Amino acid sequence: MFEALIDGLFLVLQWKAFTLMLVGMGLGFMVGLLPGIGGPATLALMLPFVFKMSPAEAFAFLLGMHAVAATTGDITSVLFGVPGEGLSAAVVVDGHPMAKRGEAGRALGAALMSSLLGALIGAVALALAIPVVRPLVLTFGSPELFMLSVLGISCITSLSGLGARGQIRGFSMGLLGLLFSTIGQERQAGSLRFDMGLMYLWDGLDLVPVLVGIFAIPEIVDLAVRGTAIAGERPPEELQRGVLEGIKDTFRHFWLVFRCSIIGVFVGIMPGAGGGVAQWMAYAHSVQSAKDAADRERFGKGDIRGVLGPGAANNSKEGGELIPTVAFGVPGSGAMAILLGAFMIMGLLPGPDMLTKHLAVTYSMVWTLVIANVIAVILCLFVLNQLAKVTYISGGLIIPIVLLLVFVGSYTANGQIADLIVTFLFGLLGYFMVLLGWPRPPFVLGFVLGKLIETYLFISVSRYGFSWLTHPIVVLLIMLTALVIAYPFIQEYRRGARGPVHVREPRSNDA
Amino acid sequence: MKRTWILSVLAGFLMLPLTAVPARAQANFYEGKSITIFIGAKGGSLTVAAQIVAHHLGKYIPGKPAAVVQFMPGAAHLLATNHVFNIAKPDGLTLLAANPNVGIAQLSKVEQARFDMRKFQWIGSSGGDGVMLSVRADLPYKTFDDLRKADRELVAGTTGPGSNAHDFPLLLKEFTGAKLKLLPGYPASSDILLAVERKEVDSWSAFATTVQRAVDQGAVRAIVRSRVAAPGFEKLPVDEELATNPMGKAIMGIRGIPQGVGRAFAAPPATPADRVAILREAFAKVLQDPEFKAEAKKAKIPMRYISAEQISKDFAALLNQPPDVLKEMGKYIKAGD
Amino acid sequence: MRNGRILFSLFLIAVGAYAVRSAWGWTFKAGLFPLAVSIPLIVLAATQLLLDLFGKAETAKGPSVDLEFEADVPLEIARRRVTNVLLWIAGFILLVFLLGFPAAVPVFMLSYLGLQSRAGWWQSICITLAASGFFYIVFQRVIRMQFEAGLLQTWLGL
Repeated sequence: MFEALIDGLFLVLQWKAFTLMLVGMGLGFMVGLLPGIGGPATLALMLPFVFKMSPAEAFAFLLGMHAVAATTGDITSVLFGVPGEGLSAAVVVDGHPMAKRGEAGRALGAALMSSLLGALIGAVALALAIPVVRPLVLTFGSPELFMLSVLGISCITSLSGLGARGQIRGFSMGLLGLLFSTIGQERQAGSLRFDMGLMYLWDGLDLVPVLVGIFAIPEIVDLAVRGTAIAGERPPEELQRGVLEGIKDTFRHFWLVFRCSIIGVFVGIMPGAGGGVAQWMAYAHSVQSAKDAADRERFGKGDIRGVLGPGAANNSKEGGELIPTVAFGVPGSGAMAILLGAFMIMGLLPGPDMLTKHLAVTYSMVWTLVIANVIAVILCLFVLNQLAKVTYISGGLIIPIVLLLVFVGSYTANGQIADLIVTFLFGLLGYFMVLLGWPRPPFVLGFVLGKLIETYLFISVSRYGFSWLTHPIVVLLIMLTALVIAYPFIQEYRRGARGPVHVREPRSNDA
Repeated sequence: MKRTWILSVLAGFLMLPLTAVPARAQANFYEGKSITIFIGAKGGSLTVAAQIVAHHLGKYIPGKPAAVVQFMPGAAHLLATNHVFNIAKPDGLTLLAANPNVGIAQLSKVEQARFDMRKFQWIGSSGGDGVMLSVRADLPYKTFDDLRKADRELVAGTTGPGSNAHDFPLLLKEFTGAKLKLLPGYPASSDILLAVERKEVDSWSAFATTVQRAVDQGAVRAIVRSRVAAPGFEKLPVDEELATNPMGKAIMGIRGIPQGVGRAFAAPPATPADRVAILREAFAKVLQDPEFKAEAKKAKIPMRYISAEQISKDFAALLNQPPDVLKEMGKYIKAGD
Repeated sequence: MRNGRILFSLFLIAVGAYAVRSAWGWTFKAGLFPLAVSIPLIVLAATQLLLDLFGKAETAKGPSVDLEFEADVPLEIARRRVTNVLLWIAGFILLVFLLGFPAAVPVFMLSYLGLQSRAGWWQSICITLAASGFFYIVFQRVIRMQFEAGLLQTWLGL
């Protein structure tokens, strides 16, 4: 195995593979700034170029592009509140409020540094896990995947409301998200639900326009209302120190970053769950790490921990997602589905062979992710302070540009005008949610996980009756879910027992 | 400060389009243009096959246009098919990499199927692909007879009605007496195979070339096939011959026709005849191209040239069914992909 | 704000009710999950509505993990600006529908910058050129994405 690890590294370091990776990265930079297009669409359009490449070269090229697009996605998330890659929305929740406070540099520094650490930790975890990864994945059947999804949604829902009424709103939004996920052709009997007679809705609502709309449009409206630059009218001097501060933050909260990286790898590995879920689970974990309710309230308003958690998971999940793709041919995301196409073109067969006979190629993919991330982050760090200045350009000039990013991004999801309309409608929904205090994160998780929850629940019941409830991992996950839901109350109770509240420094070390 | 920032960004962008526009003379229609091939999926072997064809199509067309595959997923390929039939400009620059199964949707008069497969300008097909049913390799069932006499119902994972994964075992269960229990709902074909590996599911049906890969890996064993045989599996029993009544045989036969058409390419109905001729000729040459063959072999997709006339003939046959068969078929088959 | 909350609760109840009404006639498999989701949604939204109507004023105002708007702009102006920007967004979509994406981009940029932001003419033109240029290079030259033609082009038979 160790040999394969080294062989894999040398496969990437060959000059041709390395150059191709750099070319891929260049492309990734260019398109990564545009939401949606950063992922699958571009990868697909690059497939014709891989015909003449060797597997290591092709994956260096494609994954180099993919890794950079994931990283640069964080940049638009922080600066404009536009989720870069469809699912990197979790960084928006705390990253953009920081930008609005004039701390764009710090948020970017933290997002990129945690991404880098996440990629490294993820790669190490993955390298160590490869011998056991097949049995691990195979122990997660439909019942386990169902409970894992339930756990995922409970994490964020239980944390997003303050007080009893807040909880009601949190759960309502989770349910609304679940309801929206049922639009389209259902998988059991193939009947159409809530399709309104529109063919566009047969496959359900696409994630990209929904997420981009619900997060970006409210920010654009807010910017127009304030009539200032994104960072308001703060003196730009504050910016200069920002990036370094963000990097320091990453190490101040090292254990949080570490844990979130591991969450990213683990959830990424689960077939079907998809990497986007990983980011939200990491975000939920960050919120959970808050000391008490008062500390928790800082999230969503620009807490650095809310940037670090999803940032770390964002890149560690990329490694994790490789596993179901490579070892089982089950892609965890659109981008991975395209990568599978490259597999076929290369004449490689996803399956057990990739973890034994072609292990070096698999490791070369992991290495590509690591190397591309390191290079991308280092390059970005040089320009971040400059990029952060964008938040000081007057709103009137920046709004049309952000709008363009938003709509081009959502249009590329399916290439239809309807995508734009969906973006707009969910933008309105998102605006009112923020205005009236109904939290968006539970909605997003419900929407992302809804199909999985329904599918795996039905399969579990029709396959096992109710005996699946006694599967050991299922029992464990049920207990975890109960704990997660009860956690805020336990915390409250313990605090009550301990005495008066003292508000803590937001930057206190959580390790 | 602000001004210089904006200016510097601008300077870069302004120069680029000027250099990018080709100012070549248009010697013939295709020169300097690009052909867009729409496909109603986002991945899978149909997509890869289209990519391989696209990779070589341009070089056999005078003017050497680029050919780009563009995804337009939605409504089980109906969206892309509707688009190319009704909306795309019939200028010979837009093609459809069709999923011939949408012909079943037209046959069962699905309201959203706004096209006529008989009116497309077919370019040719890169080969048909049958469907095979397989069972997990560690199970004791080795032949079709074992399936009939099995001591329990085998669980067949499916992606839901209308898919090959669903309809193939369904018809076998209804018309041949195979002991199968359908478990629909898996997101994609590959998810079923994964479920087979974790022993959640016993049987998996998919395109023969896809099943073949899993057979090679030792995960499953192929048991029955549909009319179109994959190389190496010619000796497997065929579903139509196992059917215990003529109606079942007829319905299986209908489902078999699109599989025979396979990965067909089409141009919008009003495409000028001279351009259709150019495309047909180029397509036929692509299928003979040694590089193309090598790439197809590497991707393990068996390619076989099927002419435009043959495709038209097959769709004409498909769409010409007696009403009683159609009515009976409606009970079992839901149109989709 | 309180009125807004009440309206939003009513909206949720309406969505839930629509879902229940549609799902009621479906087969068991198709209907179960939507019903299992929309009925609790109605119950929760109704509870929230009752609390807002008759309960005490809330102590904690916003959600704990989401953004809160904070603008020190008078309500009157704020409302006008919200409507304004939403109309611009809708206008952009309409432009794309009429002209197709490639043509809508420069038209929208130029008119927004000129009419709404009242930026100087050279600044407007420069930003428009930059944005359209970027759009053109990335999507039409590098990625070669085919954009749907606008309604206008289709009518004119272009």
